[in-house]
Amino acid sequence: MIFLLRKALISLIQFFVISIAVFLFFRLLPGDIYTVELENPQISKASLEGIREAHGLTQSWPRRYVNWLASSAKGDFGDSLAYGIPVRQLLAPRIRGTLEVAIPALLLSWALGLGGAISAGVFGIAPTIFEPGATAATIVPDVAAVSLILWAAVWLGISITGIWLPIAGLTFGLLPVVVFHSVRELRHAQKLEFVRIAESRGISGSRIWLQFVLRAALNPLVSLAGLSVAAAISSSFVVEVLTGWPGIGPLFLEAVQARDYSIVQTVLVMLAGVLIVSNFAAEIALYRLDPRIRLPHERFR
Amino acid sequence: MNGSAKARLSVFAGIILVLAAGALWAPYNPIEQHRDISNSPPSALHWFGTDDYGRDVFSRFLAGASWSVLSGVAATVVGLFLGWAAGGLVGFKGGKIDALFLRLGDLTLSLPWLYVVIGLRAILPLDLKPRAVLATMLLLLAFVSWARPARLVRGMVLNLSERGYVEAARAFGVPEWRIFVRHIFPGTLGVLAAQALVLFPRFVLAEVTLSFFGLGVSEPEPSWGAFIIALKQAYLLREQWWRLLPVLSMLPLFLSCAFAVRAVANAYRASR
Repeated sequence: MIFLLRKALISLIQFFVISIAVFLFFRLLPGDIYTVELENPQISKASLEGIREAHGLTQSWPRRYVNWLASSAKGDFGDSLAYGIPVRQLLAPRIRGTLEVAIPALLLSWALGLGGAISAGVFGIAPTIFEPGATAATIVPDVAAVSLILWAAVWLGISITGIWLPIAGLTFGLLPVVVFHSVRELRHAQKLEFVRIAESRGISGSRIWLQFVLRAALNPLVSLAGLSVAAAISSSFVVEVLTGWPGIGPLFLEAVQARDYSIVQTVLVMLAGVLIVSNFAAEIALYRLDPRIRLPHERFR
Repeated sequence: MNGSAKARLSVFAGIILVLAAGALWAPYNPIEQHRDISNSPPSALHWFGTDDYGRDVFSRFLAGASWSVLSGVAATVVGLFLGWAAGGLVGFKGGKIDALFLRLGDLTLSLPWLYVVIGLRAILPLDLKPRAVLATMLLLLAFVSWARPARLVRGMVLNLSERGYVEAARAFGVPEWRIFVRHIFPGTLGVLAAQALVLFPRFVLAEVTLSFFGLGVSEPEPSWGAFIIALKQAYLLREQWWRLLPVLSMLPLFLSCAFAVRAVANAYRASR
């Protein structure tokens, strides 16, 4: 329990460090949105100061950070400067869009990657059979891969507007890493002594793979699963922009190009939060799966 | 290292050299326009055809290769140096700075790098010169990628500091900095070499991706990212299949790099 509390505390600190970093980053820029108005002859300097003060821009930055955090916690992320509507309204459908692509792609790549490697083992084929294919897939740039899928779809006359396209593209991007690690961990676990003993005792192949090898290999794979959420979010950016899928990616890109900082900083902090939570979830899963982690002082090797 | 590993590494080095010098041996000026021959298919004169403005695509591919490969090499050097310095220092010194380092590493590893780099790019002026863009991107990329090599080097340094010969050197009163330079640094070179090969293609891809999003090298300067923009237009591909040629020509670089990684990893495993 203390282990989990400590991890939770660390995650919390990580989140605050990131949010402060992001906040400060966009405050370091000289000027604010009203700086341009200095050129505007219709607004006097004094009234500009008044507007600044009304929007809380004259306060010290720790104060503004706390205000920002407090309003964000209530779901108010401010207004988008480019669209003039609340960031929340803009983001909500985009988050749904990204999740609709990222979750199936994550599940699919783990099912195909780990599932494929395990079932190869169960059927008596060395999981390393997948390695050349995975190597081939890693050398194709993500952006080119999605374009090629797009191209093939057009050539074959398949509709390119469906959700299958971004999901396929993202799965293609995630799969190789999953395959590499699954194969490596399974191969490593396969050589462990207790697996060999189980084999010599005549336990059937499928039971050895599922009950011995998989369980022994699971530990690093769970950590990787936590990290693969970060990979999915990054790759999803590329895939969404390429296929025109209305996720966070295209909105973020537009926001960056239009310098719509309220969107940029909200997205960055939010994604950091998602990733910290997913890593923490992986820690919890590890804690449940592996008794060695629970009591570090009783750890044996 | 056996013969086939050496062969793989030299193929990779050869491809890098050829591409890095691409701008030098491009047959035409990559930004010179010949509107009368725009969008022409591959021919003996224009191997990859010409683009919308009648510019030679092969020359643009080579000139773009120089940007991509050189920025990839430079980013690898910067990122590895940061990672090596940080990992070496905390691994050797240990203590509180080590714990802080691990947390910091966790933090950078769990960030969605693409969002971070593009977000950081947001606060820079959009109309920078290509060279300035390249320099800033290098720093941005090095900034987000120091953590993994740093961790590996740290582990390596911790491992090496416990070796008998290091203890022996200590017992003889050899100064700490000398122990680090003479006895520990050489041991980390293998990890650095392998990491360089892992990081390099990622940096090239990142450069391609950023240019693709219009945040890297911009028109009329040629870049690899721009070739992929053409691929986005599916209707165009149906009409002009040769638009795929520059993209396909990027693959040997990544392929030879993947083979070189295998070679180094095997050699490293064999040496232990």
